[in-house]
Amino acid sequence: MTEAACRAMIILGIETSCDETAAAVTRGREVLSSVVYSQVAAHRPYGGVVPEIASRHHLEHLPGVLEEALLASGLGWGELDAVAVTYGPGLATSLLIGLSAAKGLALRLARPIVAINHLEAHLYSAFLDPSAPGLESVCPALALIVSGGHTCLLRVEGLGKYRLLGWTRDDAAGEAFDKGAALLGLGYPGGPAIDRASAGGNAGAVAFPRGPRPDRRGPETGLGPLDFSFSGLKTSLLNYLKADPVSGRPERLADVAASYQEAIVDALARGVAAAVRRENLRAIVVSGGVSLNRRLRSRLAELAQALGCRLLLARPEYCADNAAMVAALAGAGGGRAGWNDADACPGLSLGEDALD
Amino acid sequence: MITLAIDQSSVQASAALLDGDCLLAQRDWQDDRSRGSRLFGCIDEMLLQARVKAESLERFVVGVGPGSYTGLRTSIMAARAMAMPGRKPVLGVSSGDAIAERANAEYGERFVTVAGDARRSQLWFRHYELREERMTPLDAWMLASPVSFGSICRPGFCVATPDWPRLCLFFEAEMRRSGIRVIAHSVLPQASILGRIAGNSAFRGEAAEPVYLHAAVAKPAPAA
Repeated sequence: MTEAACRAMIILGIETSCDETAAAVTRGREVLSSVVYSQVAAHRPYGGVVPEIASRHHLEHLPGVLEEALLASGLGWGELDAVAVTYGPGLATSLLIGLSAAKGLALRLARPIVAINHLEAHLYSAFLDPSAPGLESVCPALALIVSGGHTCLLRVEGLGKYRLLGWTRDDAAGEAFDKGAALLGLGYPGGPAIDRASAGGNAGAVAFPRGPRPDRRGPETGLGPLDFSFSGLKTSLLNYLKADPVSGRPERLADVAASYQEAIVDALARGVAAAVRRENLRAIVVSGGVSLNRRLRSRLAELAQALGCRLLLARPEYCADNAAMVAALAGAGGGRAGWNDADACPGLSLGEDALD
Repeated sequence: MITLAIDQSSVQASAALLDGDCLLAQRDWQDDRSRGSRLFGCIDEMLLQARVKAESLERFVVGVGPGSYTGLRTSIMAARAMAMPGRKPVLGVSSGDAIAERANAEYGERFVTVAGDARRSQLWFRHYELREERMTPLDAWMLASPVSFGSICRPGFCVATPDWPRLCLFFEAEMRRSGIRVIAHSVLPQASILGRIAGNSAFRGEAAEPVYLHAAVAKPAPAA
């Protein structure tokens, strides 16, 4: 089905791929309700997501989140046209809970399931607002998906037509923020903590690395020209702090945090610029939890202007994991419709075998 | 009342469709303890066989363990989701209760210790006694190391386990050492038994939540 033909479908979306328990109801690209139960507080003591804690929380909270999403939409169960659910990538035991809920509701309501790729849903989150342009109208476009679990660049030719241009070979950008924040004693999640701690700091105070040097890219290392790597950045920060601790020095902490943030933002911006130039693209679509970072947003705005590209950023409420993006993508005709025996695919990718 | 009962606590998953106490259909299958992906296909088959529409399901019964966390979570979530339209009741039943009932019904045992592999070098167990025609739990679920199990297990009770292949060497040694009696193969919690337990007027029901015998995180959180 085309995007236009599916516009009026009413979809219940379910998202449980990591540590957000979410449900939403959409009609086309209109979000009728979106409920997210964040587990951040439960994972904070561990400095990252603990899969067993995530699974327990999903099971405990998903039924209430589903009820709340339906109530807030003003609709009844019988008015749903389909149930969309994330089937990967993500934590296996967390994905299975969302899939069980979707299958149970689909069976009881005699409705089809639409199995959704979490990365594709993130990409589509920039188009959630009915006032946003349609995805097809901005293609060919570059998508930057940047979150705690994923960092990748995709060439977008249309709905379901993607080619992976580059991705991180180690830590995701959000993971780099989390690990950096832990080293700096700023807590979890790291992205917002470093964003706050950077205020007033000198982003040029410390010259942290921006990813692999050009001579480290090539067939020998497996690092493509548009791939990212953030593990060296974390090590660099660790070594820096050993030599020059920042505890008890708030001004220096702000400088180091700002420099660390700038290194991540700069690496992402360089990748975006190189991809747009190489692929001759018309728009930059940015989504994922890290796209909430204020410095990244302003840097990409400058970059888009310099490149003559349109910049589409997901609205703040749809940057982190949510189910509105899952439901809306299904409503637009994305995902695998009618796949009622969908199984969890923890390592699912996007665009690796498409287009070429 | 049309009841759908499911249990995925052990290596053999089970689903049953009942009308009151009357079994309409049942499916048992070997589960890989990680996916639970066959559950819905089996439910579809049973509904077709019994000529029952999914919308006619009036009550959901689900095994809450102890057992495979993933199996328990997927089946409990499935039951709770299926129950949402029309706000149908979901009753949790201890999978151990079904094992004890089966040990009584099929082996004539009146005093039963239901025990299983709790991983992390531990066993889970609980004691049951036949009272007023029901296998009644005498205590809460407990954990024990294999070394201490023989001394904690009540004398005269017969052990029934869903995990015989994994625990047979231990139980065979324990039978020789301490003389405990063990049913020497797996006794599995069939969904039809869960459904009938839930249908008993004396049944009070449990919350449809997994029996977690271990904390979510073995190591304490690092100091802030």
